[in-house]
Amino acid sequence: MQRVDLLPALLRIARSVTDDDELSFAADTAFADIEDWDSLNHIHIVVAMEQTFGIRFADPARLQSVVKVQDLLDIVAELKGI
Amino acid sequence: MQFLSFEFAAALAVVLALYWSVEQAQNAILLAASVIFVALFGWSAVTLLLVSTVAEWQIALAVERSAEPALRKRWLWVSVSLNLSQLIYFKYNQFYVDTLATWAQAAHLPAGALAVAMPVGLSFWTLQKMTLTLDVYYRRMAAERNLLRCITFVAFFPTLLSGPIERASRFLPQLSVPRRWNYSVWCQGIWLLSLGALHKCVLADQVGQCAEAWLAPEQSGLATLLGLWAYALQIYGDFAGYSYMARGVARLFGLDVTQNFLAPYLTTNLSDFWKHWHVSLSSWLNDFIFNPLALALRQRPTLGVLAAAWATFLTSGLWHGTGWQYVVWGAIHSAGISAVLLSKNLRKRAKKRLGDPLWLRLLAGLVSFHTVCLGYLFFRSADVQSGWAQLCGLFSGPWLPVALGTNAWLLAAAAAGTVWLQGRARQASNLFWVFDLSPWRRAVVYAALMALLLRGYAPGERFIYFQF
Repeated sequence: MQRVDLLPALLRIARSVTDDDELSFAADTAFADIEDWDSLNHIHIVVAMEQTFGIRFADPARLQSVVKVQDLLDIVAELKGI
Repeated sequence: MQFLSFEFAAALAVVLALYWSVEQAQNAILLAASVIFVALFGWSAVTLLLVSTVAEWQIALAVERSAEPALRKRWLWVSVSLNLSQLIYFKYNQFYVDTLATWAQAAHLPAGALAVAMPVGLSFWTLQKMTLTLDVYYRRMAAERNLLRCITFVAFFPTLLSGPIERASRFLPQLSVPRRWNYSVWCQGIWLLSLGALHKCVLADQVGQCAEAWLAPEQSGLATLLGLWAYALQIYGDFAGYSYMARGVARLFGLDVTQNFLAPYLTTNLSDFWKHWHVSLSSWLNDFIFNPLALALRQRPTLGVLAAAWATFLTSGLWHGTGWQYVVWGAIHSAGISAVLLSKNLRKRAKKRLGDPLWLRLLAGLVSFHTVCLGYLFFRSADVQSGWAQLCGLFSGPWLPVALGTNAWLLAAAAAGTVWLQGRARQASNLFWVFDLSPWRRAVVYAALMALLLRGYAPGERFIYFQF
């Protein structure tokens, strides 16, 4: 998996979790601006990301500091070493 | 010293004059004013505030120096333990002193030696102080090196008694640069102060009398319901009023403080309500209790989120006080939030099918508002039993009679005024709508505001949230 594949993969996960095929966001979108990204969905998405990408968010403090989609993708890329 | 008093206005004028004439010493003047303000309530409060802020400052620096996540976490727990001990020792003093006194009496020991008075604003400034460490731990800012700035942030007198609870990462940068006097910022400050006074004197204090009358014991069901509506307006006016005034005073110093209320009674579910009510506390609890817990319990996502929601609201209940009525209040909100989370898909499907008609939004808003009112029934009660008795009276006692009199008109006018003002203030940017009006319309608004304030002002009225 390349770094550029992360955003489409995250979008697929988010659409599946929220059951909303029209859900859309870009790398610079803030999570607060994504309507369906509430607290429950956030946790489901995090779990689905760990399973899909084969990673573990061992430092939740880092995960909590994310503001934009790109921040989350950066952590995933770092954990996957890509 | 009350915000709405001649003494406060005179002291504020002196501090502002000094603050804007000696730009190099703005933080020192603000700190001196804050220390004197706290000292008016007792020097022990000043000592505790200074000592615990110095400790927090050192812990935040230690978190930053620690490269290992485990070590960072250890320092975070040092901060949490110290702050929690401080809160338990002072805030819940009455609870365990009473318990210990019973034991001491049995053992023929002197009782009450551990009794201490709660330092002013402790619940608010403790949470604010904790963000010095939390914001470093969550990498929202670098640890602050300047101790003077840290103490000025924690002791900042406009927000010290009842918030808004500021974040270090948001407020410290404002203290790091010299503030320049700005006419329009001053006008905004005066407007916020006036709005706050309007909420407190005209809404809370007036409608509070209706709540007192209708919620007295042995009232009919309808009287209790009307009393609850009145109390909902009273507590909103009281707390939002204080928050507006705190923001207004901060603006006079050229500082921006978080908006604490965003038209909460116009929301359509409990989850949204908490994004609009006491925003600074609910976002604190969300960021530092709910999110870490929900993440830690993510192996069972739905159950984990629900457990985190219950833990958060029960903590919020205990933050308000030790009585079981606060636990019941927390449980009502936990149950409400759980229902909102679990019904998400159902609501989504309903929205797809029915669209978003006004009647559905009104219905949802009414359900949400009355869940909040149910919480108030216990929140304002002396204990769970009296809250429960009033709740039973709503359904099992006689529905009538109710003494309406002028109170009914007052409640209707207060409700209409609140809905209108909340609609106006729904967006933070619209809060200063008065400055967009033409000069003569603005003059009418100012004259109406002045008339209402002169009619409603009563010296010495206390704010409900001071007790917390």
